[in-house]
Amino acid sequence: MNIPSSAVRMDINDMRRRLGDDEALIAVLFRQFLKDYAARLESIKSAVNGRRLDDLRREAHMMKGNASNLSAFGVVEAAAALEDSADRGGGADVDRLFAKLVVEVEQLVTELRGLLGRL
Amino acid sequence: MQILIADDDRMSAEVLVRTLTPEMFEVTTASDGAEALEILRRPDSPSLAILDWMMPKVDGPDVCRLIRSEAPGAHRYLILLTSRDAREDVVAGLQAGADDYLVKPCHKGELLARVSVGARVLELQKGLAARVEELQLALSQVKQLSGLLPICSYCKCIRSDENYWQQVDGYLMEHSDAKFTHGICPACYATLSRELDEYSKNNSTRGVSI
Repeated sequence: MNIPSSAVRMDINDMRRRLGDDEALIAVLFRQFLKDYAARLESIKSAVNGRRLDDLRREAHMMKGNASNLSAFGVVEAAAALEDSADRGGGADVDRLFAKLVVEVEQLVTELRGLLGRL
Repeated sequence: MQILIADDDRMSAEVLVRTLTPEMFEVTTASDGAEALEILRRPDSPSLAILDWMMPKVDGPDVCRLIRSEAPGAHRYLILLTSRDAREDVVAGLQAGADDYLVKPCHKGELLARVSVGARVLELQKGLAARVEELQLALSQVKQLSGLLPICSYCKCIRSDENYWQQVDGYLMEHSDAKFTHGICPACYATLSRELDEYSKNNSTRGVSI
């Protein structure tokens, strides 16, 4: 996956291009993310705390996939870093990477709520 | 055409379903590899499948491997879908038995184009299989004339399997799809005319009219 290195955390225009300007589908995906993200973050947190690396890899991968559907590059980047860390044996940086992911997800959630109101 | 979508990521699956359904594809979904295998093993299973790489129970490449090994000649078009885009991953996916590869997140246009390629390949395979079947049937109905035939050097009769000496035309009609129309060739006509003239001459000298 190509993650833009710019400061763009979520690119709604990229999402529109990818999904053929299907606003109804975009709204469905926004709602789906808003419905699932809290439970997903909770699963990741539990895997981080328990240092269950297989669970952490799987859950971080899922979060990355969800965010990539939204062209939410900030979350994609943070989830990918966590997934990589789990792949490498989950070093001391796991907690820091998880905290970064939480910040990115919270920013995305705020952005999605705003966008959803305008769709 | 039926399509199986196997992905444990509900958002990805949603994109696929909502892209393919309006294009008149009949979509079935599975949320893990084991369920995908179960669906693909059914007699009336979808011939085209989009399989996520990372799925619970059985991953996408293993689904490809198992399906290919269980039914090597089956007409099946398998597309692997994943966020892995390294060349080694593409090679590993194709070597596992996938026909094509799509990188997540899906681009609607690319997805439809690749699925159309799959549908076209399956149609061609289906048409080819039907043609081969037709030709095999036709071949089984064609009488073949081959082997060593015992033939009389003088009268040209052929000895049949039942040890019966048969006229060559009758034999050929029985053992092939050939049919005969009978006539007299110019050389034989000349010979026959001469013999008839000779016969008439002989009879007239003996006072017999013919």
